[in-house]
Amino acid sequence: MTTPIKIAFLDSYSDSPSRVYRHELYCNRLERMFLYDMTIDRLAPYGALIVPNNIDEEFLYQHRDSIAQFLEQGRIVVSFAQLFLPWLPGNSLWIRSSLDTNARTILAHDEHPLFRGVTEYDLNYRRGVKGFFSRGYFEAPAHAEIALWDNSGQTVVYIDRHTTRGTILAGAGTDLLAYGLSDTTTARRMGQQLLAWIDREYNFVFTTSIRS
Amino acid sequence: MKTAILYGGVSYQHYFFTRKEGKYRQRFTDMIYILDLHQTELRQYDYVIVPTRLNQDMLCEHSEQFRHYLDQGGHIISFGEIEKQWLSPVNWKFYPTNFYWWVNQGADLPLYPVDAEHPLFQKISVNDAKWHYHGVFRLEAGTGAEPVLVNELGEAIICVDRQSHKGNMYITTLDPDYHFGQGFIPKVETFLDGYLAWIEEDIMQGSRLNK
Repeated sequence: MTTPIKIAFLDSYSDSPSRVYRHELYCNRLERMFLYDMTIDRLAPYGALIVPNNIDEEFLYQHRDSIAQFLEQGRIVVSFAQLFLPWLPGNSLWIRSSLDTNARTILAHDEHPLFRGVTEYDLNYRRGVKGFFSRGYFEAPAHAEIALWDNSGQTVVYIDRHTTRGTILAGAGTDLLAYGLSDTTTARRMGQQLLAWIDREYNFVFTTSIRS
Repeated sequence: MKTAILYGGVSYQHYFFTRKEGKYRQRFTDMIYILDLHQTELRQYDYVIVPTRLNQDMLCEHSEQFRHYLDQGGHIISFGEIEKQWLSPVNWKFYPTNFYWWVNQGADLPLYPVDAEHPLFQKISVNDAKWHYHGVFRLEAGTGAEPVLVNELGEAIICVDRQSHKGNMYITTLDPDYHFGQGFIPKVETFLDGYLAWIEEDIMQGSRLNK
């Protein structure tokens, strides 16, 4: 059985009971870390760090060495940010899709453990409205695993195990934790599957000598 | 006019300032990064914009600075939520957001002008303000705020308070800046241009009356 690891949710917004890290599906796994309190020492107890989209990237950029150091210790960074500053190793910044929302489709990827059982409809539509999940893409780093594409072949979510000694999961604005929570659709699976993936990935990194 | 807009370093704001050849970056004199606000003299600005989705607790740390600025005659324009008492007097009420009403034929988002002849509605239509909202301002009896656009219960979506301070508070629960930055809901640009034009005319008119 995979051992659950400690996961920090980095946050520059106000704390409140309605925040995603306090949701019943996640509250026993995620610990909020206020961005402006972040130091490499405070990050030490955590095996993974989740960075939401609504985050102060100016501050993250000023403290990008902490992120890089965290990753060089073999840990995991998950980002949902539409990056406009280069604080995440290997990432070449978010690009807005040129496709109209109605013409763009995020393709289902049932074979991937993050997206198993998540239908294409639920990735793209919420109560008939399209576009909540992602509006852009990344040019993935060399050798990255592509976990999700759109219908023009652009990368929506990638996993990078090569740029650093740790693992980076970057989604182009794709909030895998919160996106599915507003309804009882298959999209709700993504958050729990993300947490399970983090546990497996962390234990894999630390039980192999691949990057040690 | 010398104007400023607060900046929290989040991506939607970056894209708000850079989309469409940076039209909204050029529209305001200065951007004030939230961590620099404590060392910024607000009095130099005719108005200060507090955009959507800034950290409400961090804004609370500046409530006295905002109050002082307003009492000196500065004006504050606020978009989106005022969940905590960083601006006063304001009584915010959250509502679950109906993002989906427009999908169904015949459906409407009920919003009404308090006065159809109001100068704002010479610049925008009520329809330009209809995408969704995340809450309302409840205006108690005797409040100094004037409702401009309301929902079906008469709760304010847009209001202006000219009474509580020397300067005015133009507050709306709408979040056009967020959606312009995110690049969807095209009508928010029409709304924003008309809304800011009305406010600037209102401020100028107030300045002339005070002279």
